Amino acid sequence: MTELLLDPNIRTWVFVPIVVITFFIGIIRHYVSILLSSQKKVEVQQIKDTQALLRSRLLRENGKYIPKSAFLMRKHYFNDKEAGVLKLAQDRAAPAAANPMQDPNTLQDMLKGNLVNVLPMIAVGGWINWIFSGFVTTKVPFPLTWRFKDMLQRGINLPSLDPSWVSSASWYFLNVFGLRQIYSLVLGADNAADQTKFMEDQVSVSGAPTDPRAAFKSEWEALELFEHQYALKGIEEALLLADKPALKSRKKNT
Amino acid sequence: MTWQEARDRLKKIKEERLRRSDEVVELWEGVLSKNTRKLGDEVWTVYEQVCIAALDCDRLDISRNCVKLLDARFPNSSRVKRLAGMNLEADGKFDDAIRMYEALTKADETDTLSRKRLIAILKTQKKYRDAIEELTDYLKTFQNDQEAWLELVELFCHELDYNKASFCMEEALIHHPHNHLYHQRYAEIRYALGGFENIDTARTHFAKAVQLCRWNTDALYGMCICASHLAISQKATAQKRRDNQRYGEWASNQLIEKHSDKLGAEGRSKVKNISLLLEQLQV
Repeated sequence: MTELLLDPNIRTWVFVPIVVITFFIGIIRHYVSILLSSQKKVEVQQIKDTQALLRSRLLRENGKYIPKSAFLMRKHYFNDKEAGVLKLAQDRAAPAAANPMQDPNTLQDMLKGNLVNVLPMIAVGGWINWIFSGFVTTKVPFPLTWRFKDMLQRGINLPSLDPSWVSSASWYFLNVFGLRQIYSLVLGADNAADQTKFMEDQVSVSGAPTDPRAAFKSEWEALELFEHQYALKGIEEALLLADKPALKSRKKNT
Repeated sequence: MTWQEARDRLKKIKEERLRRSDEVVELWEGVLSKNTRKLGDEVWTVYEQVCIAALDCDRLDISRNCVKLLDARFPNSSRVKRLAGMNLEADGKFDDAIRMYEALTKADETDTLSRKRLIAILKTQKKYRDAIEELTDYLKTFQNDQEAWLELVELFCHELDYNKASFCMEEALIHHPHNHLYHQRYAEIRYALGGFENIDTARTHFAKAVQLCRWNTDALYGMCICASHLAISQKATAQKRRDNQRYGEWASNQLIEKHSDKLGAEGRSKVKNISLLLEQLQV
């Protein structure tokens, strides 16, 4: 197979422009997202809830280190039938923000996220595909198996072409995913230029909203079933016992 | 020290939350302030750090300058306003500072730092009762703030309300059950409360402190005192009295051993003194 020779114009008008365009779009995205970002307001009630749940969990975990009366006092505070915090929280009406679709703020945030991230991705991807389609731009300096053809030669349908050649569309995608380090170099560690991060965020957000009442109920049950056993009971004996072998060995030495 | 080293040192102090205020101020005055432009955007967090450190060292000239620069850059930032409030506090203008913090907490109810500043002012003004009230109100929402619980322990101890102090100390224990100093503190509070039950609990927690840290002599002394107290208590059963006798002896032996280990040959006479004292403790 003869060696392929690329027109130097491809380098100046396709290869370099794709890098520059993707880079600057990332920068612009970073600043636009700063402009559009709204500070998330946390509800006091929400903090109260999570703090109560956390404290109850800690009580279950480490309650064995405090005397029984102290533990029961706290259990009463959380689980009392009439005034227990966890009990009351279960009976509370479901908060209005439980459904993200009804809360205009979350909806707005989602819209902004889409505006900054998804739209440009589609638009720029399509545009690059349209302008720079069908070029072989560069070659990776090592041989690859034929399986890589799909990945590296998007937009070019040449069955006999060596897979180490990279097409323009694939070069764009390589840039999108590969510029992450350069962004963090230019913009600092916590930047919004990277698209891949946004996708991860969206996945995690979709699973988050849960009903706090369910959490309270399970925590209440767990605490109700928890039996307090004082971990420090008989600690003096343990101390004295642990010390005896040491004493003996010391006596032997002297 | 080169400029680079100074910057890294400052960063490290910030990350590890060390309270080396004098060092921070020194680094700033000696090295960093001569070339602030080199810091880039980092300069603003450095200003914040230096400002707090300067307040700590009573270098109000530096802190005022930092706030002025920060205020020019971030005119409406609550963080800068809090720093300005702290400057007012340092000047002794508590009323102005309170007004500033109250505006901040009103604007954002979750602003814990400003609320803590308000409580701190009450404490400086020696209004301990009010401080306790505010702090309990704060803890109703932020139940997991271990730092606040410890602060409340201190306030209650100051007011000699050991019952409530012991409750708050239990809270700290739940957060860090493996900190021997917390166990020791809890035991001390329990001992201060007095009564058979409380002193029994105190001895147990002193023992835990000793178990966690063998070199905690305070806890060993505490264990000694508690055990000797219980050994002659009327309420204790014969078995319990005997046990406590044993625990007390063990603790005092430990003490003598630790002291003689550390002091070496020349400190034998001191050890003798200690043994005499311990004997007196046993009654």
